[in-house]
Amino acid sequence: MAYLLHILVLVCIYGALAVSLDLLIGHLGIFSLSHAAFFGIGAYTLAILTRDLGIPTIPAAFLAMVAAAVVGLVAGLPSLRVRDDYFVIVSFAFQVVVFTVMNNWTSLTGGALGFTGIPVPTIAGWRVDTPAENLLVAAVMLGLVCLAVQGLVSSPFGRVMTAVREDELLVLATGRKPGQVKLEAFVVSAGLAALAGAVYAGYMGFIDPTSFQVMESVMILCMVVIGGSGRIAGSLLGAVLLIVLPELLRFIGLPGPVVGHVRGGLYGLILVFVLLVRPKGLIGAGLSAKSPERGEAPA
Amino acid sequence: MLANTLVAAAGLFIVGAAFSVIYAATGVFHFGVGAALALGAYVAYLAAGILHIPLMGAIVLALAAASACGWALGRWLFLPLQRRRASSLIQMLASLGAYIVVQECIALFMGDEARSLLPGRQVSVVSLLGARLTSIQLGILAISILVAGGGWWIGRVSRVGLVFRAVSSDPTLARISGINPDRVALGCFAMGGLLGGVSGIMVGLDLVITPTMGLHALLLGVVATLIGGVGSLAGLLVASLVVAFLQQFGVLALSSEWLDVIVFLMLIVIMLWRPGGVMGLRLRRS
Repeated sequence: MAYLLHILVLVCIYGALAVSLDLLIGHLGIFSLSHAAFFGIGAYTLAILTRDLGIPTIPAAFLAMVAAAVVGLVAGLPSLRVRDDYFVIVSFAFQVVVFTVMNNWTSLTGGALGFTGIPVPTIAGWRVDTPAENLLVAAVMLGLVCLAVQGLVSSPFGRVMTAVREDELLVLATGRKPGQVKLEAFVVSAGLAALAGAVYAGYMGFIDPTSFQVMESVMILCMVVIGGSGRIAGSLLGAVLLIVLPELLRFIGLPGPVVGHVRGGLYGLILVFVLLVRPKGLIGAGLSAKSPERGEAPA
Repeated sequence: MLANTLVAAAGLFIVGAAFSVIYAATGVFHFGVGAALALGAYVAYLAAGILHIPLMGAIVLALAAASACGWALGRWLFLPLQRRRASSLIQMLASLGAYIVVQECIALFMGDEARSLLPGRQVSVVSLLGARLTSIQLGILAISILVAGGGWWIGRVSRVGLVFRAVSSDPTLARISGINPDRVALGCFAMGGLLGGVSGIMVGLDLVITPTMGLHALLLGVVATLIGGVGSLAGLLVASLVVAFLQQFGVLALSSEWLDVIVFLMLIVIMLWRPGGVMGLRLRRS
């Protein structure tokens, strides 16, 4: 039962990460490989604020979001200058930089050994202690993230985002600033990822940099792409699939070290398969899957 | 120190060339080069270390495997995707997925631990213009000069280069002129795989091999390519030297954990300042 609850908490946390990343992928058409970095910034900020500075959970989580949002603003800057695959590499570079800082700034983050003794989250006097209570918190967090994304997407701002995805020049011509739209989306996306990170840190009580490394970013991206971008249900489905499927591997009796590699390979296989067979993702609204520069070439 | 910089630059240059040949011709940002790189290194390891094939034979076998890997990814992953006119981002993601599969398979069958291609073998040290190099490092330098010269010759002088540039700049027109762009693209994928294999073996001979070596080496090569500017062999050469220099002398100022940070921060700064690369002619394929 405790195991089941643990899986559900993880589904909520990764679901929130996927939904917040989809803001960039599905609605702006920007693929970013640095989402785990914001997840980690949220987790570490909460951990440091609550353990070392004794700040209560809720303000600490809020500050974690602010910290990640500021970093997200910086990380979004290159998107004004470079597009598509170039930006993927720049975001990848950013992810590596953040990971290296987490891994090596030992006095602040505890380095590779991890950050221990994160206090049990306390919300208005309520100690979130048992797995069931943690699931409640994670579910509420997921709900908030989905609401925020849904609200943003269905607002006029969301329509401008879609317009930026389809034709940046057109948006510029209508007197709006595509760059500003991108940066705002980056800030929101990073802040929401940090909220998931704060919940993760409070729930686990212990964090180490491996939870926020490059492959995690790849995994979150896979969730969005596999489940289907541009739709909240798609990102959630992707998160459920990629968290639950590998867990099933445990039950067929593979030894521990093997499981990790089989899981990684499985992500890769599913990703390739989905892109070949169903490029919109399982239930996605689909990003602009046609490439304009190859549009005129004969098939 | 200078010699080490040259050797590191040579490694970056070969990976960058492997990446560029595919990117320039087909527009695919191909993580599969990393897969071919690791595959080449591990095939060489298996052939030389386990099957006791002489080193030269093992290298030939490994290069064949790496080219085959590059070709197969092109044939069964990218041609179907391009036929469906999938966007370049989709193709990039697919190659990332393929890379992950190869990496995890290697890790699954060979284990995570670092291995050496030359276990316990004595490496002779050569003195060259006052710098001390191992014979392997000398070989690396020689191969890179070969690749640079060959690349320049193929690209600018030979007919292959003409066809290559034709497909790269306008596939439709190339098709009208009787060139089969798919075949050219597959040739480039195989070529990229081959060069990837070369650098995998170079890394394996000079240092150690691990299942994740492909991505790391590829990314540094990509950084050099992007800094130099895609499609510019000279830019790549200069950028490789600069990145290698920064790495080597960065270690003196900072501890080695921060090496990657220096390189990647440099990429971010360059992308903000000059997105087309320092010596690049264009930002993207138009």
